[in-house]
Amino acid sequence: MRKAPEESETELQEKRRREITRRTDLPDSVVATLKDEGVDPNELVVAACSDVEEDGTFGETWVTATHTRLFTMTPNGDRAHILLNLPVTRFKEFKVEPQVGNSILEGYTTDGEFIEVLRYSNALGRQFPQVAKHLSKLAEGEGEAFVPDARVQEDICPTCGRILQHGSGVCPHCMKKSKTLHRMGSYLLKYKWYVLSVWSLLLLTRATLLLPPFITKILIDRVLTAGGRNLALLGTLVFVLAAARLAEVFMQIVQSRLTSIAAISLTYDIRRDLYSALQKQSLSFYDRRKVGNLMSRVTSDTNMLLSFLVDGLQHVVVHVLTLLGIGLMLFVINWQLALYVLLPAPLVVLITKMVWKHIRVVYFRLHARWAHLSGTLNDSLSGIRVVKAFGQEDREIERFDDRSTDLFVAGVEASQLSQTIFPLLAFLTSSGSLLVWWFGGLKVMHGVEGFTLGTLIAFLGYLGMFYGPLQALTNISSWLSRALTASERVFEVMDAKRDVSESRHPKRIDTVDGRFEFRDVTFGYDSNIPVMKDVQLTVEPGEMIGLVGRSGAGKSTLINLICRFYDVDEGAILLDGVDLREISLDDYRRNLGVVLQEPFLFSGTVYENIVYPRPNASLEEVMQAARLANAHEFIMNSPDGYDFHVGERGRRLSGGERQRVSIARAILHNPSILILDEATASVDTETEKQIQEALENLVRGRTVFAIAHRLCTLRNADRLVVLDEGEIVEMGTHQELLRKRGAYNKLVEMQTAINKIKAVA
Amino acid sequence: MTTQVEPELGQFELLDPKRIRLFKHRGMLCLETETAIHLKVLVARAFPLSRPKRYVGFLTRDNDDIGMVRDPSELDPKTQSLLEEALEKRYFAPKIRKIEAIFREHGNLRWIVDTDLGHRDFAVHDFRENLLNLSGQTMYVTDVDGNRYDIGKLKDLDPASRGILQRWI
Repeated sequence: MRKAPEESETELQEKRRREITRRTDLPDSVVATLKDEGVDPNELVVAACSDVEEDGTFGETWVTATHTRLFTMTPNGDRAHILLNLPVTRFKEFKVEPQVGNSILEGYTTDGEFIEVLRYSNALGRQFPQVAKHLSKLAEGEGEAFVPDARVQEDICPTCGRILQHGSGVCPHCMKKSKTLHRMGSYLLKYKWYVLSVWSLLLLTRATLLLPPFITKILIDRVLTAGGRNLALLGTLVFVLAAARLAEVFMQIVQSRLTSIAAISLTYDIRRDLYSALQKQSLSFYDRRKVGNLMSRVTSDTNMLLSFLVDGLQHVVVHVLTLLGIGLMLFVINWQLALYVLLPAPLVVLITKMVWKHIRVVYFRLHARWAHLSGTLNDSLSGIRVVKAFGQEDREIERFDDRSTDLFVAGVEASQLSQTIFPLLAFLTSSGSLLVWWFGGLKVMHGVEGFTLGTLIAFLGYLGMFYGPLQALTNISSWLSRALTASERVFEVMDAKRDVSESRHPKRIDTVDGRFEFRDVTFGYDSNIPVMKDVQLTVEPGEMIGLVGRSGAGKSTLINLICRFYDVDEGAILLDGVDLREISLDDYRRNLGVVLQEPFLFSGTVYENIVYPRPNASLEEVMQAARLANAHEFIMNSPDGYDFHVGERGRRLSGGERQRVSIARAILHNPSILILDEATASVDTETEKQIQEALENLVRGRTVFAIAHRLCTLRNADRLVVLDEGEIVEMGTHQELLRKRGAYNKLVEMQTAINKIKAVA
Repeated sequence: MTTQVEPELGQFELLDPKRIRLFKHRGMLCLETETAIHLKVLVARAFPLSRPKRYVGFLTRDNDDIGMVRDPSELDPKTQSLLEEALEKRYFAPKIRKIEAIFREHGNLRWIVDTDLGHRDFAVHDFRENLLNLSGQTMYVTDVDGNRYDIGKLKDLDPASRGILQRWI
């Protein structure tokens, strides 16, 4: 604490500037040129590099700015070629103009002129909007030191920059294999006794396999070729063989049974962990991923992980041990012959590897074509109405035929290849035994000491067991990496950071008044393309706000923010004076009710659906909620009353009925804050009236945000907020806004016109 | 701007069992309440499957809600017996006493059962959809014609019937 605070402040800024030169790796030529122009590179506030040159070829263009001057230049030898050198004060603001495949960073001068600063390809689409924003601030005279982050993109590995498999988020190259293996192991640990007994049984089984060839040897040498009739020994040996076989079968049964218990328990564990992770993820997680993709993680990836944990590891252990055991036996019996056996081994490994590479391509194509075919099928069958309406059945048949032919060709190719290659491979594998027959046969014929016919037969017996595991192990690396990637994908979902997360010290709230304050709220799903821009709004407790605007104006986004499905990028939403992000999520959601456009009911009874938010509500409370929602009568009229089973997604109820059940659910939830999303879409007038009544019961005494495309449904709103392009353009009551003859009036006129058309039709 | 009203669920209004009565008039079931007389009323259980003994509602012939009593046993005896009769007519579901066989036939499940109302032989289409299982308690099955059969609780069935049913659920 020797320095005065002001000094340390300037020091800090100094440090930040030096950071810029370090982090952006300004080329020497740019630095030199800047110095020529009398600019100290340490003074730079903004520095960024584009990947396209002025003439459109790929290359570097640098934009750098101090508090006073803006430069763009391309490195050219030991000096850079200056393209722009302008005072920052000439500019009013900077914007990016998206083109096709690339974008332009433009400066808008105070005297209304546009100046193209530079172009950049879509690869940098996330950086330059930020650059523009900071340059704009600079133009306003308040910029901070800024360097865009290195490429942050979903499908690029942040560590190695390789492009990732779509929707995966896991880089097979960079993932820490040992860490993943360790984690997989931790699942196994819970069943360690199963695993240990399975493995030891496997070992024993393998050991018993070593016995029969040895018995054969004795059988041939001492009984069959020794002359005489040693019935006793024959009997004993056959008995031992039988016992060995029986023991093997028995152990196999026990081992398989244990394995399946472990496997099923493991599946259960992993699926449960994965599913609970999915449930707790924030919505933005689902925006970025396809549902199908996620489903496949829950199903096929967990299967892959499982097959690795259960079968895979076992096989690896078994194969390695078998190879060692048999190899040892071969060398013990006769080390020279054993060397002959090993002669083709490297060749077998090599060829298997090569062949598999080829086969995998062929089969990959086969699978791809399968997928294509089933996609076509799915497409045309689910769109069958359209197909029939336009009389395009023949064309669909033709389309299917094409895909079918493709599949046929690929299928034939794959089967021809595998039917040819595998027998050849088998021959190669057995070629070792030919060598053994020849050299071993010579030894037997010459009567080499200790090398009898029995020895040869036993040797061949062991040999038969040797090549199988060898072949299996050649494929282990590719198979292992696939299993690892699959498991990593599973773990990725479990570990994914939640965008909307509980604050460190969540503020517990019991009930709320429902006063909302939006302070300069800016938000974009893609953080550089704001969908909400500086929204300012104060809502009093118990007030009903109608959100109006064309589609895409930002109504649903605003609702998403209020529900805290997403967090604001800038500014804040305050509830009763507290930032939403600081309030405990559970407490907040308890005070929040939602009635959605397409009400979602779960498969279950009407009662179960209404009672969903408050499982301990009494029967009478449930019926009261239904009465207020105008649902009681139709429920009582249905054969099973409140025990009526609504079916999957509530499809056994009509749209209006579903709507009213969902309103009853919201009423029972009794939230202080209520979100209504186009609650009266697509129902007849009578039903709409009933729903309107239900809604009036629902909104009483609550802070309500309602969206409706049909403006007449919002007449009860205390205030209407008209949104356009993410900004509030008008605010006031229905009457006030009509008188204003602005955006709202236009919307009303448009709708009236449409209604007239509808009436005529 | 509205002043804040605390959102309230309110009390669920019930009919006082002591102040209503059912009677028959020219073959119509009629309900007399404190304020009005309704002709040809409809009675319905709110929870016919899970709580058949409680909460019986009355609806007008136009299906408008008149009200509900919490416990029908508090009604006067005459009203009670009229109510019983009406409910019995509304909820017709033979109780399965014994399952003789269930087997697959033409994609349907054919049931041969003995009920408290006699021997029945029926087919059930789309079994999973038509077997109502209220949280593992009472089970109902609906046949292709929409008739409903009360299976009761699984544990209450005789072992042979339970064995047959368990092969399918």
